[in-house]
Amino acid sequence: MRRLLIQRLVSAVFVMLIASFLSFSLLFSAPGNPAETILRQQSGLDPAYDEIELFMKRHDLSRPFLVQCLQWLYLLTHGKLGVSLRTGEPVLEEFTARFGATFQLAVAVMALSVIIGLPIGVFAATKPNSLIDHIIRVVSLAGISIPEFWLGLMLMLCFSLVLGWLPCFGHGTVRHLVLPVVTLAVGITASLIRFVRTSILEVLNLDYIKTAKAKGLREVVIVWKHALKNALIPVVTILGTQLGHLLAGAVIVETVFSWPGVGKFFVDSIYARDYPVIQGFVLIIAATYVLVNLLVDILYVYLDPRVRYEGRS
Amino acid sequence: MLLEITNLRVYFKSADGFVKAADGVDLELYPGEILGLVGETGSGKTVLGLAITRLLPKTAAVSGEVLYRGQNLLALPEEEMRKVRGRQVSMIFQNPLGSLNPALSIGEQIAEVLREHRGLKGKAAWQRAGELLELTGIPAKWIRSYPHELSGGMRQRAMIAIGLACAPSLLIADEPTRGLDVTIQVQIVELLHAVTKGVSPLRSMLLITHDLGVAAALADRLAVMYAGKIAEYGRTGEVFRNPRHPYTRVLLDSHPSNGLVAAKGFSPSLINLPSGCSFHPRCKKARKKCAHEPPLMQRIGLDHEVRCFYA
Amino acid sequence: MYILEVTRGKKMLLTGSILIFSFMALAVFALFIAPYDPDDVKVEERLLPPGEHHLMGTDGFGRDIFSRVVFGTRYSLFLALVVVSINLLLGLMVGSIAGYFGGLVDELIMRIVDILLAFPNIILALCIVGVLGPSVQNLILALVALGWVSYTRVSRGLVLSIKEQGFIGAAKALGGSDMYIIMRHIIPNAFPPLLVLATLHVSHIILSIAALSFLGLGVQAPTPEWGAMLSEGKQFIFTHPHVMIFPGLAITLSVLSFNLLGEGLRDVLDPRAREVLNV
Repeated sequence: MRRLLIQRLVSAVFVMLIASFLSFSLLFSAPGNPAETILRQQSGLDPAYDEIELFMKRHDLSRPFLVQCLQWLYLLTHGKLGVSLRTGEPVLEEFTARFGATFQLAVAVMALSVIIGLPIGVFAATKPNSLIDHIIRVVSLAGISIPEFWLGLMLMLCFSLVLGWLPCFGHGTVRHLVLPVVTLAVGITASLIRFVRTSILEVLNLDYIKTAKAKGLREVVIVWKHALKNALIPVVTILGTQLGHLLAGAVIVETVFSWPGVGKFFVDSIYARDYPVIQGFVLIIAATYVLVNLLVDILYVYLDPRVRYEGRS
Repeated sequence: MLLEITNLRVYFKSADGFVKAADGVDLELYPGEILGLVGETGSGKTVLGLAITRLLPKTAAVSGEVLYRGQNLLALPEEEMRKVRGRQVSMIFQNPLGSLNPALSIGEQIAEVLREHRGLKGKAAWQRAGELLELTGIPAKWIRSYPHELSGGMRQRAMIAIGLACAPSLLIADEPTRGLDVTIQVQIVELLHAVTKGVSPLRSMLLITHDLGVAAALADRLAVMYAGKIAEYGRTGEVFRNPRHPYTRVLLDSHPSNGLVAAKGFSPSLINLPSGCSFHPRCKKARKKCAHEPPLMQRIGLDHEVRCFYA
Repeated sequence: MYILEVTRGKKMLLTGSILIFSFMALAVFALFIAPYDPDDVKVEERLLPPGEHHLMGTDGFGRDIFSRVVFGTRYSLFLALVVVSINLLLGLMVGSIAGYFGGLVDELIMRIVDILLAFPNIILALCIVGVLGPSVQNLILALVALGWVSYTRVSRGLVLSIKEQGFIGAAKALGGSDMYIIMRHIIPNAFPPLLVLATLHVSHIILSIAALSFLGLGVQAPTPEWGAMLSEGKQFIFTHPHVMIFPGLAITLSVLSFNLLGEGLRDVLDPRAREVLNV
């Protein structure tokens, strides 16, 4: 088990290194001289030649690419991600200030998806090929086919404008949370249902389920204890992938609902070509992603006694 | 009579026609008796075991009668049947690694049966599970271990402990020694003997096996199965000493202790069974009649029946 | 039960295929099907509700929404197919090289693939388009940047198993060069399973294109691409919702049809092929 975790940790560090390199190169892949781009961004005017020279000197931009990259990495290890061109605030602070709102959204979406998706997926698996299973399958297929941004707008139209039940923009109360969460949860719930269904169906064919039946256990116990406990192992591993969907979805849904989270700030920064923010966010999002996948790996080891055992010997 | 099976048929529908896994099987089992059901892989013996406890997939068409203490199990409502399983009739499967749940400790897998059928709670169930483990020869300290942490023999012991949890009057053991080392096989046979013949009142067992040695060691009576039908039925000693069905002879000859004379040909596909006696294409003694007319079971001794015209 | 499973898979396959062919027909015959020029601005006819003359109404510039949706098929399907084809070919090439040569080359390529697979791809796509500026080329670049890796992973596995088969050894013994063997023997054999994987990916790419265009970072506004249409129509959501409804329905339906096709294929395929695709 320890070896597995060390392996994962090493690869996580490796991923982060590559991510930082990529995010640093991003600035250099932008058309034109980065100094020129940034200066133009700041003043809105075409910068003069000596202005560019000065800026490049001040920010060590005239050094070779690799040296700059290493320098940037050095600053990174000291938690310095640069300063937003738009707000003048450190990128890290901008991120932490908005992280709460996105986290709130993510936790609510995950909770809702699991609460709804898990039982429906299990239920569908216990009645394979029945009419209800077929309906669940087609509906969940539709669920993963609806674009989030459109779904968000349609829900807004329906529940805010026509029915007037819920606020469509803003952040603060639980009522504000409902529409963005539902919008994001539809796709994730749908894919969770599909995954749980397949996973349970696979497990239900195994020999130990026959044993459980031969023991005279109730079907509820067989499905929800014997099958689910094993089927959850692969389900947990995809939760990490789902986080990728969630992050991507959050970017879009936060923009649609003006949710003051990381995603909206990210998109706004892209519109404003706020390079330090874009760079920093790529890194932070990659770090979050890597971290969550690491947690999933640990959870996986915890859930599957077989892996636990192999690691011990 | 503890178990009385009459005219049991199990057919599976497949794309090529019906698979006749059991085709008119009659068997009986007295209280305290061990009946050995022997035959090659694919002869339908496992299906028979599953048909008794109604654990076959829904695609199987089952007909006939399975009387357990005079009650037809095939006609019981599912909920009643569930209460029979594990409490009155227990099954011990082959391949204990696959048959034990990898995500639950063996203690939990024993305790849950006690909670379900005996109404034991928390500690009491756990305590009893430990006793059952000890009974089958596993130190109780192993109670929290998972199946993959045990050796093959220990797993089979745990499987037997699960089967014994509610002190059932009938055990159905499906190839309990398959895949185990020979020395371990001996231990499992001894254990099975101890938990059937060594308890009072005696416990009945339907022992399904392809291993004649195991059957000889445990069974009071033998039923030899071929292509979904019982070919020969009699006291174990009698069948071994005086096999009357040509197939039984082949089986006995092919046993390692007799120098392994393999049977000519393969066991037939259960979809396209040969006409007449289904053994006739492989039978040395077959005559014209065997290809056309299916032989009936005939009594040839006090407790000895054979399905052959020329027995 | 097996038979049931297959027919149901076929039903999905059939529905998906019919829908996809309809969309393709719309794309090919857009000129004949669309009643109006999709770019024809008529200010006096702006924001008309769906009715007799305009099946889906008109947008903020008085353009016929139905015609724009029909022409939009071209952009969405065409772009998605282009992206998926590039990903497929790139992934197949890199994967074949990794699987065929093995050793250090393989190690290096697969390391990179593993790392890239760990990235949330739409985030990176957003960054690429955000930094390079929004344009169709950059959109394709962004979706290719990470899209090729899953094909690489799958084709490497396929190549490894194909390599073990006798005819490769025979080709080598006859003096075939590595390049010849890859092109002539390995790629043709690895292609069919990858094609199935590609089908499963098209829906994903359509959604990504629409999302990026909706954010204004993909196909740009006057173009009748569905995501871009929604981006333009956003401001009318509360006053004239019909502007928003139809392009969104078109996206959903096209994505659904590819998902149905993929799901059907998965059902009909034998389990081994399914395993290969579960990467």
